[in-house]
Amino acid sequence: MKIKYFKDTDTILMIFKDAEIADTRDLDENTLVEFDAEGNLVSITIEHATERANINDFSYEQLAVT
Amino acid sequence: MKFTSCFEYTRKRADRKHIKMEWIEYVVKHPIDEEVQDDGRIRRWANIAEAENRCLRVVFLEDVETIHNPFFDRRHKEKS
Repeated sequence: MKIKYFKDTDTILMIFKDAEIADTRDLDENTLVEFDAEGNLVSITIEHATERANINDFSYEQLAVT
Repeated sequence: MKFTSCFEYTRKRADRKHIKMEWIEYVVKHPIDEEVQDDGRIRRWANIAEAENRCLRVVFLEDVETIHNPFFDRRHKEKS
């Protein structure tokens, strides 16, 4: 998984898998969701990310199974 | 035309590489539809004959010259 932030447009691109995109859909005016030919999620594009996603507080944590 | 950094990055992807600059320019100059988003960005669409007449959507920033995110919008075709 990759997350790219483009400062000039305040856009976050989250890439879940390395696959060719077959379909792009609007989740809302500022969110695009993209799928491969099998309908699997490939990526999400979030516009105006600093307002909508609190990107300054990004963290990742992998939790152990207990 | 000017381009955003997001455009430059996604242009390298397999699904975007085949979108020709002349197609983007065509949509800019000959849109069949246009919408202004709440944030002032502009969407334009046009059918691209060379691409099986699929409908290409191009998003501009508020400056009306910087291209942000072109892609084939199959839902716009369905709406029209």
